[in-house]
Amino acid sequence: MSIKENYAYAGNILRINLSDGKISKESTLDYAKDWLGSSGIAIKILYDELKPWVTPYEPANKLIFGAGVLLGTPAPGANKMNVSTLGPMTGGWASSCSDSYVGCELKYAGYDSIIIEGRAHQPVYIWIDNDNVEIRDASRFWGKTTWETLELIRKELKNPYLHIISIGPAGENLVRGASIIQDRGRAFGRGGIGAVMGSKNLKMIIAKGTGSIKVANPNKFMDMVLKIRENFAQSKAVENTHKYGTLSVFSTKRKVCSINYKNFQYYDIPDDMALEIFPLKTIDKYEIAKQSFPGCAINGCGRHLYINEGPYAGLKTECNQWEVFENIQTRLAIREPTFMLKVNALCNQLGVDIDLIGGAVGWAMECFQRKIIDENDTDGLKLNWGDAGVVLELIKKICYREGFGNILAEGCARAASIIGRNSEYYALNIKGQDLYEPCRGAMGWCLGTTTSTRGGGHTTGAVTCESAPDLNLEKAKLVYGVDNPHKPLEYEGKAKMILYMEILHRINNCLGVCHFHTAWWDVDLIDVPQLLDIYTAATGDKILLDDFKKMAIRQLNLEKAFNLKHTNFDRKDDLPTLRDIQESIPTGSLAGWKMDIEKYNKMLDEYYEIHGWDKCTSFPIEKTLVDLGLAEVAVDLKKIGKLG
Amino acid sequence: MIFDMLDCGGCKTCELVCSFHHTKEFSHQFSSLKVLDKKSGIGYQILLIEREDKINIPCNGCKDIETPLCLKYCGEKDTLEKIINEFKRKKLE
Repeated sequence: MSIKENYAYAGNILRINLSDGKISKESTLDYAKDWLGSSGIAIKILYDELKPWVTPYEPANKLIFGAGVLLGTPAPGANKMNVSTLGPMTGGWASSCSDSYVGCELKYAGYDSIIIEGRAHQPVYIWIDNDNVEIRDASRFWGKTTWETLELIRKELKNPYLHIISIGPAGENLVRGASIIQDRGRAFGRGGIGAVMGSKNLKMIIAKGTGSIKVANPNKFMDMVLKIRENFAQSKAVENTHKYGTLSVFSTKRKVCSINYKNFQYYDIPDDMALEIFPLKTIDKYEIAKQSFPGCAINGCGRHLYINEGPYAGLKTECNQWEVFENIQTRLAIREPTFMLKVNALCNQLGVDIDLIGGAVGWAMECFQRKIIDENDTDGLKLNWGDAGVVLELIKKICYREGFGNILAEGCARAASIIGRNSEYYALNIKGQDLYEPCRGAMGWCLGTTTSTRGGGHTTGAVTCESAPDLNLEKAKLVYGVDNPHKPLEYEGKAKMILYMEILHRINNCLGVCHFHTAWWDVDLIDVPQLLDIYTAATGDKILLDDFKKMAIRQLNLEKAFNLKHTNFDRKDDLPTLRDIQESIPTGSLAGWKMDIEKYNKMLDEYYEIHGWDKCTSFPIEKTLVDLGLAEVAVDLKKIGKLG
Repeated sequence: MIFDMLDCGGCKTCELVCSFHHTKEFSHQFSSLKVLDKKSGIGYQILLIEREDKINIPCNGCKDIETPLCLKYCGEKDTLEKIINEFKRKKLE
């Protein structure tokens, strides 16, 4: 049995050329059989259609938006849209997912994906209302923040219920780590995809659809959905995530010594600081409302807060998630507890990846600390750790490319190469992209991050279970196929764990399922075989489990090949930062722990071996590609001397 | 009829399962309830369709099954149940 056009998939891919205004449709099912959905379809199109000499900001680059296969149904957590492109951060594959209402509307309008080509001659936005697709003038919105844009367009079109995705000034100014924002918050954060959107003069996309999505086996599908929700109602992990989002990990992160302080100089914050900025207290104090997204079976991980005191009194915004707290608040040593909300709101308004801010400003502050740069470099600003005002000022300078901000806007790796003065050591990045993930002290998390094809990042294979409190150990052993999933300091077995997670993450992305509903977050939640059951009930496609997993591996290998075509990445780019290799953890529960680079390299050898990639170079070998149906890719890589 | 639901998170799962109840398909169009953004204040508004017209299917409280589907799938079922009951009561009046 194969996928029928009218089950789960909307059936159409929209292709929009902003240079000549041409709009056309093609069939999703031409791609879905081998590439599943959204991010899988996108990498196939990008690999096939982008010549090796294309660069991220030129009209020839393509920006592909994809709604996950299950969007439009009440499948658990089915609200993730994907954006993929040739990204300016790494120069290779860039891909980012976010919750969105727009993704669901796109499905109801009849589309699974949108390919944006070319560049508009002046700012435009894309309007999709069922069959009616228009490229409309957006000059009056250019320069506006994402919040202003949402308010203005809802007013102009007299529709207070419109949902959009948009870029802010950061995207417009081609800030290398610019993001794309959903309504007022939730971000397609990584890779600089917002800058690519800005380079095309595309301000926003609006989608509205009155169509419907059918599933192949409706009663079975709904029974599965209900059963999962009933299981979730019993889950402690789900309960914590519902109450505090990912900020719920605070106590665990302190216990396992994994909190970035002062640009990875330390892996824990001082005890008094921990008391001062305890994020759960902030949420409890200022919470006013919940926020959920379509299909969410966690009953929403979001909270709206209203701050009625302190330096940001009057701010009403959705609360940030953990990454903002660790990668900006603690990384830059800020002690004002409501700062995390303010900085999250500002980054959402201006449309910039919070990881760019953490990476670039972290680098700058450490350079200032070490007197590598001074006020002559920083427009007179004193970049002292803990100065919240300076951080907010720098964010604005970055997003508007003013003065020193113009250098920081390039990300820490490029900023360090511009400034020089041996500052590169403090520019923590992987494959050129600013790093968020603390890589010492948890080797599975580390390996998944360093090998990520999108340049650092923990949602393409990194595992969280090593340090999870109350881990269901027997289930974890079963899911990962290793005996030591609960041992973060061990190097053995991690490669196998990463392989499982690389598959799960990609299937989640293609189906549009939120990672936090799955075994990534807690081993008792939805795993790959269950996802296959839901997929089969939805599409009618009775595909075997091995073939389902193979689709994800095929996608991974094509991402790898895409990177090989467009960048110089090889084994050296799958290593942790020099700081994480050389320095031991100075304080906290893991004080004294230092990475064993020999063991890391052995772990990496094992990773390449199980992936069928050459150990010296990391390049896929011919047999691996042929077995995945990628024989032509093997020919391409051989031509450029990059076949393993 | 429009009701204020302060603890609604806006996931709109209720709309999809209601649509499923009527048509076995998923669409906001076929739902007897609509979750609406509020201009100000917290939570969302729940609009319940009273009368049938060209595009709208009225809410009949899922009278042919034990538990209304929207309640079965809602994470804040207690609040939504109060709204559904009030709707039923007012409709009878």
